[in-house]
Amino acid sequence: MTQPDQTYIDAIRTGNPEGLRSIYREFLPMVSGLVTRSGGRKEEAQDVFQDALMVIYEKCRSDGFTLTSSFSTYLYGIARNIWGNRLQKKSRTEVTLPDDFKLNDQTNLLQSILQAEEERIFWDAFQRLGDDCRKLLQLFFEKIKMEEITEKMQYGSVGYTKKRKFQCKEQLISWVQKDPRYLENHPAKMP
Amino acid sequence: MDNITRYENIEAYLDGNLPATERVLFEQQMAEDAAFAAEVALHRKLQSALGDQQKMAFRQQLTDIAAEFSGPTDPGPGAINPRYWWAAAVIILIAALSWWLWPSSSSNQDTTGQTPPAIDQPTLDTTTTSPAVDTITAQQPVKKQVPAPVNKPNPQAAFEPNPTLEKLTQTEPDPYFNVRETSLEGTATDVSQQFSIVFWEKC
Repeated sequence: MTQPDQTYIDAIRTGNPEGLRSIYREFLPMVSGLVTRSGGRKEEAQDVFQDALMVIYEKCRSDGFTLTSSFSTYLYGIARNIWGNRLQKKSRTEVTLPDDFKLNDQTNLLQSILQAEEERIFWDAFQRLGDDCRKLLQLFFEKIKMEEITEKMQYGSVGYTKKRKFQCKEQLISWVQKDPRYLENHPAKMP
Repeated sequence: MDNITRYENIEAYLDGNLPATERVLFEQQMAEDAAFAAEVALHRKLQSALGDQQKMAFRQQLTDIAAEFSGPTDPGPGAINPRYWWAAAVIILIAALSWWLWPSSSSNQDTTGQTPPAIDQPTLDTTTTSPAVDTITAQQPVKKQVPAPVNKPNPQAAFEPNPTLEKLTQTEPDPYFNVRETSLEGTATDVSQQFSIVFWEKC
């Protein structure tokens, strides 16, 4: 692995803002070209790029991760798989990717891509919530006790906190379940 | 079971806080009800994804940085190309500049401040051959010379019956034209008087 590639990996691993900016500066145009050339919009390119970085972030956190190709090839390969997966869902037809961009760990990579896509749906729905709900659910998902959440949120009672948490979570789940991207993977209806 | 209780049961199960007997019943319900099992799975994934603070912070960081790199969004189907706006702005600017500069340039040419005489303007001074060239002469007040009317015709005379014509039209009507109207233009004081007779063709 070359020195710049190691710098990129370190930036993702540590969340270095300048390093992440340099990754955007260097590689976003490449992914944007990939998406827009096949009819995608710039906003979709941004999503694909971010999801690809999330996949690499997950890989970096796992033990024994080593970059066997250049960072550019790795990132482009993941982005191409993500975009190919989305195109496949869009057109309901098989999208054949060139072999030179298929990675060795296809099974694991596909799993990571699907996870990143699903988490993007959760993230988008979470971002739609109001500030109050976001803060409350964040504390709840952090496993903070209800009494402490009540105090931090300055609610009147634990009972109200539980009710409010339910309302926020119900809204979040409703938006996730209504998301077309989620429905593509989960056609079965829930109660 | 109301929705709040159902949510609390699912969360208790995922946290491992359900008593053994209730956990068995819960898992039995999941095995029998696919929709319920899917709901439990969604709760677990939400907890896993949104409860991972490091990952959440990283995604938030990427979202913030992405905003710095997001260029103009794709125009919609009916959007106008920005180049046309620029072209329109340049045209308007040129037109405005032309309008602004035009009067000053024309005033520079005409140092006397007098407007040139119209082409069909009557001759003001018979001694001045070219008012446009001799600007000094043009500046001087010139008294309009009205030629004395000589043998001034009476306009009303045109409507007086002409015995010769009357005789001709009565005895020998024109085979091709009829007189439709006559008109008189001009005034008695004006030198230019015009009479016209309009004919129309017979059917």
